[in-house]
Amino acid sequence: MEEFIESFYDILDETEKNEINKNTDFKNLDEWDSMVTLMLIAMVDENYAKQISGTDLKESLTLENLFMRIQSK
Amino acid sequence: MKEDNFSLIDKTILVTGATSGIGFEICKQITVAGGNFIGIGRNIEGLHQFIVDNKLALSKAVKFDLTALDDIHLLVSELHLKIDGFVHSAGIANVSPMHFFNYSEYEKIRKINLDCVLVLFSELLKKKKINKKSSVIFISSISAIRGAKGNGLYAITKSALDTISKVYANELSSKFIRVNTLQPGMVETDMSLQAENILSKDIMDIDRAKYPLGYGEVKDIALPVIFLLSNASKWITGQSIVIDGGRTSIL
Repeated sequence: MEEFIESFYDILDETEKNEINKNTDFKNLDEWDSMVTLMLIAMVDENYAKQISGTDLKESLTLENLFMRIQSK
Repeated sequence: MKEDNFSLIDKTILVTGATSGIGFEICKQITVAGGNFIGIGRNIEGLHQFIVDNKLALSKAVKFDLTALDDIHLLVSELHLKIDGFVHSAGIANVSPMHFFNYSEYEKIRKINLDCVLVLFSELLKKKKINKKSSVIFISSISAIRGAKGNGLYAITKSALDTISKVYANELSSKFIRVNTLQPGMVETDMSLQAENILSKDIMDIDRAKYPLGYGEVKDIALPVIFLLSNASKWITGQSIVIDGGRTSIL
């Protein structure tokens, strides 16, 4: 989980580190846009060899929610 | 003080192929525009001498072979500052008509003209070495848009640079990083001189006659590069701009 949060922080440019934790509502970050979405999908593919879908993103409110969905795949 | 939108003062530009031809001239013109460069090349003596002669404390020449794709991350790790611009000028050409397609030759030309940029650019972004509002320029060629005999492999790599630049321009737009390519026609360099030796002077003279303004000089490409690096071009991105003395415009 810590590693996932760290990797998510790495794809961001603007957001402060203290804003990123397991409870972060990631889709409401100022920096969240189509490119960050694509980088998140690519990061999950590279680090976990899992494909996340639009539904996964839609139904995950926090980073923890998303990480759980990735793990259950 | 009057604002100079064409200036590169306080900007650092990473340049590949910096030790000869167009790349070397780009480094010189960056200096004239007040900027600093980090020039990458295989034979850095000439560029290093230029730095010493002009006492350029903030510019440097880095000896590196970009075909060593697996080592590019080391090159990027050694960059101790963020860059404001990136120019890919490294490139090689060959004569390779379809009948003589040779895979290893294809791989050799593709590595230096195209693949190294994909790796280098990705590393620069991953390690957050590119400032917002940076400008990125790939030196393409009119070969990318016209079918010159024997030029297929070179043309493939150059048209790929044109295409990927549009994708990068879109991907990086939120950071206001601009990505463009220049498509030069024939410019007098050691590389074109080499072509003259291979193809004969007669053939080159026939080709030269097709250029309304004659063959170009390295400065004819380097100065438009400076424009694209500067704030004066801040609304230009995702474009491929032909610079060819009129060659592709006439019948």
